[in-house]
Amino acid sequence: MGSVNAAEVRDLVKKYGDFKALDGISFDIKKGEIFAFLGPNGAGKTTTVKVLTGLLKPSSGHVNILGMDIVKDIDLIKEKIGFVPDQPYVYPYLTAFEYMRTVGDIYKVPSGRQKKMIDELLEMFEIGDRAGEIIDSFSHGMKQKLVISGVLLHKPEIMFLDEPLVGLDPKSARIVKDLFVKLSKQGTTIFMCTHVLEIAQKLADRICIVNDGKILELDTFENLRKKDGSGSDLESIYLRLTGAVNGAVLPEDI
Amino acid sequence: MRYLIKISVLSFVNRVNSLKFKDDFKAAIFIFIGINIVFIIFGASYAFLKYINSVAVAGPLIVNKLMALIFITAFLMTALSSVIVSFSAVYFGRDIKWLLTSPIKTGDIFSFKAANSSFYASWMVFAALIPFMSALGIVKNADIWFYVLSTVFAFPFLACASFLGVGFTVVIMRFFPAAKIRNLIFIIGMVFFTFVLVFVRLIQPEKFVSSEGFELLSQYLGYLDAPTAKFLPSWWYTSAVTGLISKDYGRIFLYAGLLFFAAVFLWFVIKFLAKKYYMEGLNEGQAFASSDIKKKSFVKRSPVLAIFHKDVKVFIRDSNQWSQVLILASIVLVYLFSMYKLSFETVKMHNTMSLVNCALVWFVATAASLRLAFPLISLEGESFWFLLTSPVSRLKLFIEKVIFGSAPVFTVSMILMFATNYMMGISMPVFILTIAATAAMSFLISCSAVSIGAILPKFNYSNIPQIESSLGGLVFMLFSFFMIIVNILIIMQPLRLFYLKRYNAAVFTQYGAALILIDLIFFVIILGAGYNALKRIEK
Repeated sequence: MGSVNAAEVRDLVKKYGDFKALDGISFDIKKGEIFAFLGPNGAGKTTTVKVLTGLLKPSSGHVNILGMDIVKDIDLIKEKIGFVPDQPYVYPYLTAFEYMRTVGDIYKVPSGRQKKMIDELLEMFEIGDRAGEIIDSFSHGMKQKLVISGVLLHKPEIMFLDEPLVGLDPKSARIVKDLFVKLSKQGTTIFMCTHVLEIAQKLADRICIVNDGKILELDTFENLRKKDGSGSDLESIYLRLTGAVNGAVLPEDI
Repeated sequence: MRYLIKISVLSFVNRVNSLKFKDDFKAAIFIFIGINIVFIIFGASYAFLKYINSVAVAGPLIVNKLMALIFITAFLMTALSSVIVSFSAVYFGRDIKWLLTSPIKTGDIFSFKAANSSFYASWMVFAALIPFMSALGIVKNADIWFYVLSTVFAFPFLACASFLGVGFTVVIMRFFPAAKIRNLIFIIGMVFFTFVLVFVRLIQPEKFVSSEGFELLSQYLGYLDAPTAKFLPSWWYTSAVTGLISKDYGRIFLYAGLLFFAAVFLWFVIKFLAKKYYMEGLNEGQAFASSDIKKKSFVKRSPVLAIFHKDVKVFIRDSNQWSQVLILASIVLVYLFSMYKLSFETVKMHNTMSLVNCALVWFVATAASLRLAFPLISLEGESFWFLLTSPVSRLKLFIEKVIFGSAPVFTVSMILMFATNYMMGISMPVFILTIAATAAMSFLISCSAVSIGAILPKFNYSNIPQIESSLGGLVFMLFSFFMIIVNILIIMQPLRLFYLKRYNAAVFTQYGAALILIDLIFFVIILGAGYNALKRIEK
C-alpha cells in the first residue's frame, strides 16, 4: 500500500446480526483529496464513516488510515483525524467556549493556538457572541457549526464529515465549502457523505456512489458523465445508478 | 389522551416483539431476580411479623405500629421519587417539545405525563408492598377479601403520594425556572430533608423498640396504639388494613373512602395547578443559564483532566444528575441521625453495631454508587461519539470515569464511617479496621458500579432513574450486596474476638490480609470486565 493514500479500504464488511450493512467494499482516498460518498438512505454511508473513524469495528476486511491499521493503531489514528457526525450531539450543559477548550485540550492543541483560533473560528461562524451560552440553547445549525469549529481547531490530516451542510444557513454553508477547498489545497483530506449532489459535483475530486452496502461507481465527475454517456448532471447519473430514475409513486390525495 | 396511551402501548408491544434471544435472556434474569426479591421480602416479613405478633399483650399493637411505619416510609419514598421522576418526565422529557407542537391538548399531555410519572414513582413500592401484605395476611389468618382489598386500597394510597410529588414539582417549577436549577434542587432537597427529619423525630423510633422509656406498661401500650401521622394517607391505609384484619366495616369504609377521595381530590388539585402553572413552568424550563465568560481560561490541561472538568461541569449544570444528590443526602443524614439516637450500653451491642454499621455504611456506598457512578457511561449517551473518536484511549477514559465516580462515594463513606464510629465510641483497633475496610469497600463498590455501567449501559433513556432501574443497576446492586456479605463475614471474627477481650494483633493481621486479597480479586475481575466492555462499545 503506497503512502500517497490517506485511506485504503479493502473488502470491508460490516454486519449487524445477519444484516450486511457493508458488503465487501474497497476503495482508496488520496491525500488532499475531497472524496464525496453518496448513496440513498440506508446505503451504508454512515456505517462506512463510523468504521473509518473507529466508532464501529469491521466484521471483516482491512482499513488503513494514514498507513496505520484501524484496529491495531486506532488511538494513534484518532490523533490525526476529525469527525463531524450526521447529528451534532454535543454535551448540552457545556458552553460553546468550554466545548472548544475541551476539544483543544483533548487533542493537545497548544494554548497559543487555542487562544487565537477559538475566538476566530466561533466568530467566523457568527456564534462568537454566544460562546458563553450552554449548547442546549443552540439551534441544530449552530451546533453543527460548533462541531465543525471543534474539528478545525485541532487541524486533522483527514476530516470525516457525515452530512456536514445539513442545518447550515446559506452563508455558513458557503464558508464550509470554501474551507473544504482551502484545506484540500493545504493537503487535508476530506471524506464527505452528503445528499447535496450539487456540492459533490462542484467540490469533489472523486465521487463514490454506494447502495445496499456495495459500491456502484467510483470516479471523477467527468468520468462518471462519460461512462453514463448522457452528458447529464450528477443528480441524473445518481438517480439512474441507484434505480430511482422514475421517482416514487405519489399518493393521489396528497 | 388516547393517542398518548396508544403510543406508549405500541412502543411497549414493539419493544417486546423486537426482543432477541440476548434480550429475552436479560429479561429472564430480570424476572428471576425480581421474583426472588419478592420471595425474600415475603419470607423476612412473615418471620418477623409472626415473631412480633406472638409477643404477649403488645404483639398485635407492635404489628400495627410497624405497619404504620412501613406505610409512612412507602408514602415518603413514593412522594420523593415522584418529585424527581416528574421533574424529568413532565418538564424535560425528550418528547415534550414534539408533543407540544402536536394538536394534543396541553392538559392531556400533562395528565399523561403526570400519570406516567406516578406509575414509575410507585411501581417498585407497590411490588414490595404485595409480599409484605401477603405475609401480614397469613400471620393474621385473614380471608381472601383482605388480600384483594388491601391491594385495591394500595392504588389510591400510592396515588396520593405520587400526586403530591407531581404537584410539588409543578409549583416549584413555576417559581424556580430551570435557569436557577441549583436553587430549585437545593430547595426540594431541603424541604424533603426537613420533612424526613421531622418525621423521624416525631415518631421516635427509639421508643418503639423498647418499653424502657415508659413508666407504666399502659403508657407503652398507649403509645403503640396511638395514630402515626394521622393526617397522612399512610395512616388511613394502615387503618383500612387493620379494619380488614379485624373486619371492622365502619373503619374500612371510612378510611378507604378517605383514601379514594384524597386521591381523586389531589388529582384535580394537580390538574388545577397544571392549568395555572404548567405552560409557564415549561416556558421557564426552556430558559437556559448562560455562563458569563469574562475571564477565558487557557490553563493547559491533560486530555483526561479536560474530560474530568467536562464531567464536573455537566454534573453541576444537569438537574437530572444533581437531583440524585438529594436522595443521597437524605439517606446519609437520616442514617447519622438514627445512629446518634441509638445507645450502646453493652459490649455485645457494640460488637453487633460496629458490624451492622459497616454493612449499613457500605449499603449507603452502594446507593451512592448507583446514583453517581453507575450511570456515568450511559450518560455519555448521544454525545459519546465525541470521546470515542477522540485520541483518548479507552483505558484512560475508563480510569477517568472510575475516578470521577469513586471520589464522591469514597468521601461520603469515609465521613459516615468516621462520624458513626465516633458517635459509638468505638475503640481504636476496631476503628482502624472498620475505616480500612470501608476505604477498600467504598472504592470497590464504586468501581463495580462504573464497570457494570460499562458492561450493561443504557444509552436510550429519558431520565436517570431509568438508567438506575435498568438490568445493569440491578446486577450492580446484587453484586455489591454479595461483596458486602463476603467482607462482613471476614471482619466478623476479629471483631468478635476483640469484644470477647481476646484481641490478638496476629488475628487482625491475618484477617486483614484475607480481606485485602479477596477485595483485590474482586477489584481485578470487575475492573477488567468493565474495561473490556468499554473497549467493545460501538456507537
